[in-house]
Amino acid sequence: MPPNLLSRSLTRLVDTLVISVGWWLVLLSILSCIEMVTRKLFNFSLQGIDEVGGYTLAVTAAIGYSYTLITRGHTRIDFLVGKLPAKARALLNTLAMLTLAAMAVFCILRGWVVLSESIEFQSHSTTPLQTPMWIPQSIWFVGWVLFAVICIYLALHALWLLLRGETDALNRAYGPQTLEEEIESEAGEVLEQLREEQKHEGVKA
Amino acid sequence: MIGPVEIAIGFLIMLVLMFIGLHVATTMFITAILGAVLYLGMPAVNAVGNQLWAANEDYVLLSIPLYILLGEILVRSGTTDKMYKSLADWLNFLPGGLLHTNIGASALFSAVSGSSVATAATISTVALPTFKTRKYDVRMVLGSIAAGASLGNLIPPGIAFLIYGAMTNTSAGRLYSAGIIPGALMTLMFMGTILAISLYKPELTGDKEAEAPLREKLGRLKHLLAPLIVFGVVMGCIYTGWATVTESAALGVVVALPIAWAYGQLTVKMMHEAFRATLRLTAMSVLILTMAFYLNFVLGLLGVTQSLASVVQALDVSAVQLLWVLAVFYLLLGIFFETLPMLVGTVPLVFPLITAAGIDPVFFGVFMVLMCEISLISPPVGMTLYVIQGVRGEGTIKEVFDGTIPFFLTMILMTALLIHFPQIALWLPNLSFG
Repeated sequence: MPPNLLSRSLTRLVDTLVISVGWWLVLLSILSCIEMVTRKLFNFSLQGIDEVGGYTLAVTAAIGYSYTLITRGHTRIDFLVGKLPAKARALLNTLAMLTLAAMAVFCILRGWVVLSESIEFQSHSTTPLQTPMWIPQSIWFVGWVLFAVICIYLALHALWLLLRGETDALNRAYGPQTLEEEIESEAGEVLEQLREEQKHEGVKA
Repeated sequence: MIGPVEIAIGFLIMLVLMFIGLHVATTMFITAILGAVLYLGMPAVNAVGNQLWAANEDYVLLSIPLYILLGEILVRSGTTDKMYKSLADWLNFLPGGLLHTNIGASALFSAVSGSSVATAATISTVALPTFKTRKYDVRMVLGSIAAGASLGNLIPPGIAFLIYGAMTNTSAGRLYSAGIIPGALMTLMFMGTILAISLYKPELTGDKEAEAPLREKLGRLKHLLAPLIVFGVVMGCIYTGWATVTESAALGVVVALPIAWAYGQLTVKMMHEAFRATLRLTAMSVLILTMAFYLNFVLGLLGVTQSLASVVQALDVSAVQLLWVLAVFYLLLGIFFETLPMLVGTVPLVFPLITAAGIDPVFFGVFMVLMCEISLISPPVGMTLYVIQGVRGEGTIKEVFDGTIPFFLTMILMTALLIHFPQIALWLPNLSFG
């Protein structure tokens, strides 16, 4: 992301949402366990955990798309791209960002239709909870909008870098992750913790 | 209904888009939209919205973030180092010594962690320093770590089975049940490979560890308990029918919390890191999966299922022949592809073929996951191999490739066993689910 206030604000917003969804997942897990126990022991069931769980996945994924985008985690096959000259890579990296943004925009346009129909027809789920569908769908939709906005922002930035001929900066910011970056983002903290421990034990020995 | 030629062209277009480096999700989306626009018209294009919501609002799929979260919490409890030492206590007597521990520790770790990159990186960090002073052949060390790290998805609870189950409407519980024996067998075959090599060429193995006193060994045994407890609780609940796959995952998260606490690692900071990692891995899989659902929807309307089924009937191939053809196809594809794109990108086309040939979907799930595992360690692109080399930071990648070869061949042998004795996968689920 370009280093400016907008990038920092978006990153902070997404991070806050990610943390909130995380705590919600923990809470939902605890509720599921309580439901399992009361169902087995007292034949009493908290209705609707599964329904809320379904909505939770939709929201978790929609929020996660943005976070994965910012941390450059969305999967690409870099086998061939990695072997091309820098100029060609820059072109393909920009193309990847533009097509991703186009897909996201198309998805929110169609997603809006789903949401607006739920509002217009006052759809409810056909379950004991009778959830008004616009509630989970709007949170899901907001997640998609956030994803689309960040996609467009990054795609424009990539295009800008391409037009200015800043090939290296473009490839660094929008190319597939390098091996070191991938290791860092998937296991960085865990490895740090391990090395810390190994150092500690080295001192003891 | 569209013919096999159009289907092949569509698949090729998708592959080309993948190879020029578009995001895998985008390539599936473009292919689906292309099919919809060319053959079906606007209603199929406009269905995207409802398909997106329907694909994501799914309680079974909620198990994906929950299993990942459970793994992330356990991985951050800082047990890996201690788990490795404890495993070494009990596996050291075998010829090949610490190499067996690499397999066992990677298998355990990758069973709880949703990321093969994280597994390979973590086990390498734990194991490589231990080998520095012990004169093992470096290729064997690297190969055994790579082999172990590839086991994760086969040993439940893995994400690949959940994704395959969601795409093909196959019960995740059955798939998990079917993965157990092949997973255990694969582990034993890897250890058998090490054993055979160590007996045939003892110079490749290094110095034996001094046997630790029994008291110490028993004291350390508790560190193996954490992953075993979680595995036991999660799988036990699924097999006994006490809980659905998602409920077991939720239970796993709740059990992982006190474990992290017992190791003094349950902090807000740690939880937040676990959340970030969880959402990242979840979104990676679910975005691709969502677009694959839409592609599946379009392929269904296009009559691809019937079209491919008639191809299978016309060719009159047996199930075993078809599986061998697919095995070769996946070996080739696996050279370039990682687990997720390979699984999600091919299942919409391959699944109609195998059902037409009368192959059990649960069995094929195990076969498919095994193919994905092979892709992780097949040179020259296998991701795991580069991660190990990256952590190692010395020597050449060629040493990792060389070390992987015996284990790669063992996996081919496993593929043959699975194809000719499908009961390896099907016996347990048929026993527990009827």
